[in-house]
Amino acid sequence: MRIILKDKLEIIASEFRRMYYSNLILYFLLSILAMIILIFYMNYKEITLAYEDYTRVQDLYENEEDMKEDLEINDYNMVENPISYYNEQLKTLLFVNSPDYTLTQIFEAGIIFFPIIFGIFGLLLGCADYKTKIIKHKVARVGRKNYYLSKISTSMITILFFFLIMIIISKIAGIIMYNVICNKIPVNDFSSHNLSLSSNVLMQFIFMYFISIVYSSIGMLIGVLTKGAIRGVVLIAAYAYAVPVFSKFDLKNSYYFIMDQLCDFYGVIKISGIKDSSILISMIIIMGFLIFTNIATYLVIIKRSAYE
Amino acid sequence: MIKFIDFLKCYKNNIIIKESNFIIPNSKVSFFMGPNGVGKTTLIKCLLGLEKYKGEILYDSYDIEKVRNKIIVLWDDCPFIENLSGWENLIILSEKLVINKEELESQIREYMDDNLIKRQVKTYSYGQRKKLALILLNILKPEIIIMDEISNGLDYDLMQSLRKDILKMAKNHTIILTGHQFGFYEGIIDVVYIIKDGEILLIEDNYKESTRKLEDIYENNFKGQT
Repeated sequence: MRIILKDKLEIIASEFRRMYYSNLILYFLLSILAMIILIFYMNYKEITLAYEDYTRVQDLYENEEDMKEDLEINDYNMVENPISYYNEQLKTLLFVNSPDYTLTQIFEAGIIFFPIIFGIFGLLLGCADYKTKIIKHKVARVGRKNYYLSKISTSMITILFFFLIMIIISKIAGIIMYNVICNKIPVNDFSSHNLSLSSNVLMQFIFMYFISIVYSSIGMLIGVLTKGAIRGVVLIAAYAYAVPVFSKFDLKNSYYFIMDQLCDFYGVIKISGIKDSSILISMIIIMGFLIFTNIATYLVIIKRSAYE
Repeated sequence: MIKFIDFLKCYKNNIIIKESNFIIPNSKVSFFMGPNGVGKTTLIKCLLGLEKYKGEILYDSYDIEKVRNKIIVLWDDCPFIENLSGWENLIILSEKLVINKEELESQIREYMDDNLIKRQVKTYSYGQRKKLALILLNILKPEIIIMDEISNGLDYDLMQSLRKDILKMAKNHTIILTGHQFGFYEGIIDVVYIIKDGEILLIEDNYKESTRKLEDIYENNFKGQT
């Protein structure tokens, strides 16, 4: 048993070394870092603009009492004037930029970036050995089944590693950004809000990790089918950004629907055009894609000659 | 030993290798001979369980999946990761959790210098790729070595050194060879098989004691077929 496990770990170690020396891990970490920087920057920009708007409107008030009156929200929780609007917006954006919302902010951004990042990751993992023909050495050494399992395990472990790095960087960047904002905006003036997260961050993490594996599996299937990166990247990018949501049974709709239930999208990332569905149907569709892509990848690896 | 029991390989209705029963002995160098397209590479794929076939192939009574990590194939084209260096390829393909760099360096030194091993594989000549494959072979320490047309593209010095290596390895390895440069194989092989008309025939089981030349065996069996 120990020998079998050691053999499996050696195969996975080999895959990791391959990604490390090919700089794949570095490139994907840089992509994730770029995503984090972009999202933090966009949310920072949004809050500074909102503050500028707020101060601009504030300057219009000659009497402080009038402003206080306008800032009071009526019984229907309705915003009835600009100062009140900007005040509410600032409170929301401060919450978005607060350390409590840091990870949610990144997971929300994942709705745009994760399908392409992890789709391409799976694609490169799937097609690399065909391109170099090294697959015939590998399948001879470990067998087709173990070859497939090594790819899947490597994908799952590496994505988990990416997530952990992403969380660490986001947390650190979140604290720094919040301090920068605190120096620029009098946060205590806008701290009274009744905003909270719709679901806990752990649930968001689990779902995002799961969906990243699904997209990586889709990428891997495209990779083993096309045996090249370019066509696969075009396909994944087209699906992620150009293809609209068709119906509630669409993978993209299922992903968006669950994300809409789990996250609040208070920040710069918003989702729209979601077809009404249910969590159960959405989860079944996502699971269905995961199972289908894995079975299809396995069958391609098993059936196709490694010598083609 | 590797036992072929009622072994039959066909693609749909086209029989590649007729039902055969034969043995590849342990710690000997076995040579499979035949013109291109006769089924030598197909036989290797079957040996590795990468092609479906009828019958059984047993490695000392074990199925291929139990002994897979004890086998290595050195392919004619020696596939490696082209945009990585020879050193990086060896680290990746060494299948080790922890790499012993000193051991690796000493194995490299037998075949390559420091400059060459640090260069990208895509800049390697055919012979240099084969040298890299031989280093990998020494790292993986297999019990069964299959070499498909290994002598192609090798210069005279490397051929002589490879012949010596094969003779040395034959003492405790089972070696299976295929190829057409008969001069290279003379003097190193123990057992000769030919694949003729879909049949695998044992021609010599102690070739080193034989007076026949490989070229003559080939001429006698395949004259006019190539």
